[in-house]
Amino acid sequence: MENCNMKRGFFFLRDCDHPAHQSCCTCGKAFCNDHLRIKPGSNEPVCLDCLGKTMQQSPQNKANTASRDRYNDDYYYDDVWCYGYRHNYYSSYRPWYVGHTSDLQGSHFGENDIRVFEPSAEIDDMDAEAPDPEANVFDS
Amino acid sequence: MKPKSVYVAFDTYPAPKGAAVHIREFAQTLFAHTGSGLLLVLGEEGLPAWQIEGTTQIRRLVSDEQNYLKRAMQFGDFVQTHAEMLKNDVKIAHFRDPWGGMPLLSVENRAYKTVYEVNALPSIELPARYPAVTTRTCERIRELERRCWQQADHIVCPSQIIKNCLIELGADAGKITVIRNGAQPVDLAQISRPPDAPAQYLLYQGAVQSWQGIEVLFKAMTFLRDMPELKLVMCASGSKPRLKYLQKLAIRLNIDSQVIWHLKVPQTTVMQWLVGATISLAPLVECSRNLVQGCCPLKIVESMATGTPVIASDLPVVRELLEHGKTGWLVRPDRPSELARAIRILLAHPEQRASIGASAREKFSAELTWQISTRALTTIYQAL
Repeated sequence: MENCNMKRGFFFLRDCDHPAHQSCCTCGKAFCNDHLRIKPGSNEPVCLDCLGKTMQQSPQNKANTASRDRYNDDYYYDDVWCYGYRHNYYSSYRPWYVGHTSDLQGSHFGENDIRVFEPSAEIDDMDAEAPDPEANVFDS
Repeated sequence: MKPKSVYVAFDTYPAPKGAAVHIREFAQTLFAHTGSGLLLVLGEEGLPAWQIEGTTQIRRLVSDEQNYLKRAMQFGDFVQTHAEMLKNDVKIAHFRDPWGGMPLLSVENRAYKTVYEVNALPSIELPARYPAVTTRTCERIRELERRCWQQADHIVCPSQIIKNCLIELGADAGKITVIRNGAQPVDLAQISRPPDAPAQYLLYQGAVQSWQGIEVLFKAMTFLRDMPELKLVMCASGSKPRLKYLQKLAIRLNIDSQVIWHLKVPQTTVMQWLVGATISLAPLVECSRNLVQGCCPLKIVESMATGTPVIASDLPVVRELLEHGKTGWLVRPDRPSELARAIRILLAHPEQRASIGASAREKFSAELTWQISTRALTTIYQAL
């Protein structure tokens, strides 16, 4: 029998060694009952990883789904607050970084602040700045 | 069961770096104190978005956003959502950066107390990583940091230098406690050298940001080419471009035959390399991150735990941990030739290496175990 495909552990992650019971309806992998929940509205099993990802999907991406109301019914997982996460995310989304007038609709940061944090601007990507090994730049 | 505490870190967890060890120790202490807890961190490929481990839950932000600041704001939304939902249930919220702190502090009518753990200030570290960051942007980040240290109920930091820095910037000295980084006591009889370890090797272990001084170390290795049998083992973690750059640099400096790379290896493997090392190295650079902001290098503490003698840069943050000639060997920062000379001296004097290692291990046992640090943290939680 196939083992559960989930990782477990707080710091040293290891494969869950429990036998798998069902497959996740989203990713198709097999998991044990500890790592499966019931998918809201469908009664199908979904793994914790997929469920966690689903709960983080932005409200914009979900705007055209009719599922928002469905998630507002009394469906919950084994932790009531997990449902609350989704409800809250959809209903009270607002930026926490309000504070300065800027070109980002009230954000603390503007486009000029954000632009310099692109990966291409990171110094770690710095072949162009590689020190000349002959220059002895480090010794004074 | 709703969590009674939340620990928030804008960091991937777990990960093969010191910050992850720190998060593990402090988060577990918090969750043990309150009976249950939620860890909010960044995700990565292969890490579940949601984990339930007994009374502990881990939620990881899943994001493919590459822009650091945009990802930080996404993380803030992620944290705020949880904080709003749990504001009546959580007793203590502990955060490590303004990206997690601001949303926690923005929740109105919250029942929880807050602890700001300042290991670093983005306003100081980010310009080293993103050179195009302007003073104005830094001031905006500093404003968030300021709100965090003003509004948090308590502040903890791992070194006196960081505490001084915060006081200088206006934080209330009365609510800052220094809790040094620690390490777990090591039973040397239970750890064996890696089977493929060279007879004699130097070790650098940890992250590879510019302030760690890897370039200085590589340059020092060029002064040791007359000892081709001497190897430098790099148990390193960091961004792919940075690691690639360093590997290229080793080739350009013609020391690549002396350098053995072990990238992103687990902590248990790092400890094996550490136990077998002749000398451990912490060549920190003399820069504002290390001088003004401060730090408490885990690589030094972990070396002390194993009794491996450390050669480190002579900086105030290092002097908080090591005394030259007694518990470590200090050299002027940013001087490869002096670092190479110090390596030669200790290689030539095994009795001195043994004495330094033993004294460092003694100091570690008396002052620097995680048990001592987490007991101090629990005392703070009790007093909130």
